[in-house]
Amino acid sequence: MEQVEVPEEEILVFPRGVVGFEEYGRYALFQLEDPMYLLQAVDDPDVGFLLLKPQLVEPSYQVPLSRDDRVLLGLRSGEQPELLSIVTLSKDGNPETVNLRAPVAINFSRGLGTQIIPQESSYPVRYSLPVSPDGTLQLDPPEARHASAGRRNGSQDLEASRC
Amino acid sequence: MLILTRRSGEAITIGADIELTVLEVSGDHVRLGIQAPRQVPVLRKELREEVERENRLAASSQGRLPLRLAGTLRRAGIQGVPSR
Repeated sequence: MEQVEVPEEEILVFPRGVVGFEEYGRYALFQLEDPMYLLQAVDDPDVGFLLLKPQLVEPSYQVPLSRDDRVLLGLRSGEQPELLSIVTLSKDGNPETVNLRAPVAINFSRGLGTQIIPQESSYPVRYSLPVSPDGTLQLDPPEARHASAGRRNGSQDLEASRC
Repeated sequence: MLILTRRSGEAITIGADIELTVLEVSGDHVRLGIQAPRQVPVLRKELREEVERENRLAASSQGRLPLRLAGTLRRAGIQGVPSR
């Protein structure tokens, strides 16, 4: 198992934890092979979630934030959190579904995160990911190209800030 | 389980911070008003259970990630800018 030291200032605090994992409130976000991220609990190596940007599968993806969510995330008016959706792998270890119903929202400037569960939503908990026969994600159909370009810009911003 | 009888318009409190009001009763439908601190998520039970089940599946499936993916682990900066 790979061991990584996470500086205190890069730890993301989830005041309510993640649903079903309320006892874990501290996470670190890692970028994996594009387009995947890993949200890893700092206090237990067995608790982690694979994530991807929901806009990659639904370019117009949006989620309503309640006032409580906004306060919890420490968002100032006009600020929007980064949204990431939790991926579930198949038995073979290939990406299978993504949870568009209840995304993780992170306010990086405050280091705060939470799982958003709108009371009403038309997005499914298990959205089937487009996967090729060899198990790799097929996320660049023509209609997603626009969203993909936006994602690349976002990634650059993430990278640039490491310097 | 504690069982209390309430009429429409009446409320119960849970601890000092949570208040549950019966707003309307009609047939087998009950409308409830809930006041709770923002740290206490209030959800329809079946929705919470569905999300929790999927979170558990996702967390336990995460370990099946092939090494070629896990091998490229690198830290993402936290000063991210929203992608929109």
